[in-house]
Amino acid sequence: MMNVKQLEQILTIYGADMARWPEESRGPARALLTESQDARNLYKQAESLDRALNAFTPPPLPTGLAVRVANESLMRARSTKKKSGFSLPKFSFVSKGFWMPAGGLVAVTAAVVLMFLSPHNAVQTGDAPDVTTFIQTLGQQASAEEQELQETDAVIAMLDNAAQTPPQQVNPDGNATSDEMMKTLFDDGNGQDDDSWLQKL
Amino acid sequence: MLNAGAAERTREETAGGSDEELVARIATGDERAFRDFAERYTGLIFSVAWRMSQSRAAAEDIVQETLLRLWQKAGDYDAKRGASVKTWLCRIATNLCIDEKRKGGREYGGELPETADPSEGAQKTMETKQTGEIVGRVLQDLPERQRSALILFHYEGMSVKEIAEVLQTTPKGAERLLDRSRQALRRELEGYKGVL
Repeated sequence: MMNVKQLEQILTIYGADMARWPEESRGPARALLTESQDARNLYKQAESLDRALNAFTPPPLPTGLAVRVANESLMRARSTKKKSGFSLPKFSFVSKGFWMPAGGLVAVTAAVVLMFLSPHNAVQTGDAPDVTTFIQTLGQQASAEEQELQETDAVIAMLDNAAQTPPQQVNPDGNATSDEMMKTLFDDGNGQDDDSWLQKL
Repeated sequence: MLNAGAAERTREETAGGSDEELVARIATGDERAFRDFAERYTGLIFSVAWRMSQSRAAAEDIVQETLLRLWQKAGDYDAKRGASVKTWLCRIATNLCIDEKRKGGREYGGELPETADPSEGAQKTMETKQTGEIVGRVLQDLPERQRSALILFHYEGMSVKEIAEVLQTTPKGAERLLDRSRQALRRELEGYKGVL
């Protein structure tokens, strides 16, 4: 048995049209409406709300709207696709099953053709002398570099020998004294006294 | 009151195949299927969008945007998930309406239809028009999800389960939204003389 409160809840959710109510509530609701004035009042209120809602009607559908919006939607879809730039072709492997084996065959054929046409395949015979010449050139360059190294070693050895001769008298800062320098400059090499050069003047 | 487009849709569904078949064909880029689908569902989307926005221009934009999304995302539709094409489409349209209103880019509401049926008599027609305008204003003030639930249930004849799918909630959640929306609507409309 349904009570007034339960009927009120059904009316606020579903409205007054019993066809829209849950099926199991229709029978008990009818029974309640026959015996309760409060229930009938609530039902009338729900009917008046439904009537008010029914007064809110949209304008008639604009003529040709379906065709127009379909065309415009398709146009927009195409322009969006164009703006997005490159797009992969759509192959359906289900409805167009020949694409997969055909694509594979084209790829394999292209690979074989490229293999035969590739310039790397021409190296084998005609280019052999060029390779020999190139190796010889490399050998000559290596010999030249070896010679340069030997000459450098010789120069270093000479410098080492020079470094082994007795050092000159030096002042505390490592330079030859001015007396020694003068003697070196004016010594005639015969071991005469230092004052002999004055006599020559 | 069910949308007049509902009967029309049922009639149209005999041509062009089921919704699921059409969406599957659209996913392969079939423009003919897309046009059939647009013919079938433009009325529904326009009706929902207009009641959500109360603007003809906004409703037309929503129809176009919804169909564009359908064209782009048809491949994502999976019937096995349980949602019908209709609820999937309504979800797209409703979300677009809510997003558009949140963005605040367009003035919503206030643009109501001219008249119902002049043969009913001028007085009656005027009363109906005024009631419709008031209901429209009050609906605009409802929270978006409550408004969506009420529109989908009352005008588009959707079940609670379908509304739950559209609004991505549970059936109980959808019932709560309907309950609150009707209560709020009644409360507001009681302030207008002669509406209820």
